[in-house]
Amino acid sequence: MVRAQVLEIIRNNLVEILDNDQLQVGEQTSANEVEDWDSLNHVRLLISLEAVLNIRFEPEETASAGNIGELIDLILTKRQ
Amino acid sequence: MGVLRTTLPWLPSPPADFLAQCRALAANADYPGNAIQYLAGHRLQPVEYSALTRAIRKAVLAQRSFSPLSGFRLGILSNTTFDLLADYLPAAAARHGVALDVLLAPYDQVVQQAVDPGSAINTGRLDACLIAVDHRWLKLDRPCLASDPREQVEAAIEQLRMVVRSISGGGGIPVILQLVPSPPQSLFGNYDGQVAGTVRSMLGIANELISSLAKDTGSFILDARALAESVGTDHWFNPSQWVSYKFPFSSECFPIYADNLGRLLGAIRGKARKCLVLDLDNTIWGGAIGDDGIEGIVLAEGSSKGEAFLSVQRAALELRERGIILAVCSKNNEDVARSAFREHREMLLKEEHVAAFRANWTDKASNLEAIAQQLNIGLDALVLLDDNPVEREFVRRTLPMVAVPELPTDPSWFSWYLSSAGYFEAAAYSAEDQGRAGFYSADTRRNTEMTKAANLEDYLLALDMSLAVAPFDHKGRQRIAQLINKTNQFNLTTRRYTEAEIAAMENGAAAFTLQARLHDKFGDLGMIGVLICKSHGQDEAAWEIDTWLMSCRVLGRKIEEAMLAHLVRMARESGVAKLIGTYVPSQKNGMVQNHYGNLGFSKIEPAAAGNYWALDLNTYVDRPIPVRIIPVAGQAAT
Repeated sequence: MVRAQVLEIIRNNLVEILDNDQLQVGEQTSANEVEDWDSLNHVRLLISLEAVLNIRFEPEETASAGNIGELIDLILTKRQ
Repeated sequence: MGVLRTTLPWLPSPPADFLAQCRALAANADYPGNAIQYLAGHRLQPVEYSALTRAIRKAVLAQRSFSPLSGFRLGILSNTTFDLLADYLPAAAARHGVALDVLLAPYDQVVQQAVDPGSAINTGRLDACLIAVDHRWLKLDRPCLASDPREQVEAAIEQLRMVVRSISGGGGIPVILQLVPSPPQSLFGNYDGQVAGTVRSMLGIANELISSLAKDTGSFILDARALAESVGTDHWFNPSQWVSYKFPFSSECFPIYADNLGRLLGAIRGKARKCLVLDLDNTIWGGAIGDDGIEGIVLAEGSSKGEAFLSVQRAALELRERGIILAVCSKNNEDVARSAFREHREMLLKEEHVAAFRANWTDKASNLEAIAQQLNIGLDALVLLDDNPVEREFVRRTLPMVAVPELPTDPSWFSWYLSSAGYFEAAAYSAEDQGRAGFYSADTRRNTEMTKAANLEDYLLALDMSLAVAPFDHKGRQRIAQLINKTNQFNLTTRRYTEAEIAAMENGAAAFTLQARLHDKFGDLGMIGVLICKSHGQDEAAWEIDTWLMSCRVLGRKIEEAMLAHLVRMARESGVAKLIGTYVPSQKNGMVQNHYGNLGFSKIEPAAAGNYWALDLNTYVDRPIPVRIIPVAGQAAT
């Protein structure tokens, strides 16, 4: 799985979770820049990614939000 | 590997444009109920649950009609994070015929919300309140070896009882209690159960006490313990998600938990399925009887495949014993299909178990419609068990209200799929339920009597009917609640009441109540009619008929005239001079739109909005009825 695919999956999930089909995000985007991307919606995103990608996040990983690029890094290490 | 319940494998995969359909739902459909239930009937990913739930919430906010779904407003109290779980609930409830509106109390405010009369829960006009507390809230999450564990458990349950009482005391809101799963960690290993102070032992006692508490308070049970056991507590409990998010259990179990709660709410609203329709070839026996002949089909002890098909038949018979109607729908020649039921020595299912038998070459959707019509039940009461994926897909597309579980290729799993899908959920169980499948067989004999009689009057007299009538009482309460919440067709107002509200009517909350049981020469038909009258607001000498319903098993027997005769007698004895009846149209009760007219009521013209009828008891002349009325005082119209 390549970075662009993971980014697309993250974007599609965020579109549904934030109910915003106009959403524009890139690797540099972080949660605090996006309207409604609060801690609860962040958990929704992680839970959804766990189900879709069949991965498990650990507590300290889920606490540090960072930007989308870092989330992609984390997912790719788990998918190896 | 076995099959994972948490993935709901009995549901078909969603259409590719599922998310787009959810958005379209929010935008236009006038009556979104059917579309919502169709979408909910799939195996969904988390974001698909969110999208469908969001569409349902928008429709709730816009106050749109959800027909044929039943509205339900559920309050939830929990000591854990329920917000994300709540994303799953309305979508899963729609799967079971309920349009759910959730009022989630703030995190870990169980006692505060319960005891404060002004709290969101107590002022939320709820249809029920779920108390979703776990072993941590009960303070039974750690061993109690130094002090008396029994005391600890009893104190925990007293706390829970106080919460239930506070909520019920507020406004008669029915409560749903959960049984509590026990975490997989043990303290002594195999010896855990021998020590009273282990978490496992204490939760064992706590669950017994919660079951009695539910009985004492008329609360429903959501058996989270049994669910966690089925899933496996290793999968159910997720320590990582507990420390990170305070999730009550693993997010992998959210869909199956939501589905279980949806089943229970559906059962409370009378939406549980009533009839199992069986395909024959490769569903209840191996092979095609038309090709292989009666000796060629696979069905026997001693062969793994033969035993697998026997287990399907056994599951069907067990369902029949608890009151689920069985039917057959198969592409076969009828004589050939029936010959297996008559002649095959290994067949557990016999013709007399099958209330409707359709074996022909017509398409299955038409046959299912014919079965529903013959049994006088809705298509939404049917479940079709069929090994053929093409037939399953065809029926789902043609008749989306019929439940059609996916099935694996291995028949030994068929009964697991059927049972795990939860189509036949019960919120109560009565003697009537048990006998229901039998009533349908007796009906066949009644129909034979009909063809012998020269006319309707003779037929009805020949049935030798007696109607036992009594006011509401404790003994009848459960069945009364079931009729009030399940009857759709012969129901003038379709008003639903909880057991608590019905109990209040036993003690004078209604001016007049009636439960009617019918007996004829072919047997006891059980409780078949309910009437509730309230004092009319402006006119003290008038009763308003709040609820009038009858079971469809007894249509065409002039039972409504018998009920009216008794009502008129009781009203006159109470000094009432006028009866006022209302007809509230619904999608299913068209058959009673002229009920009051037929009984001699005159329409009140021009009524404000609605359909009101009046009967003047000073001038009303009693009509002859073909039924003996037997009043049963106070306790029990048995």
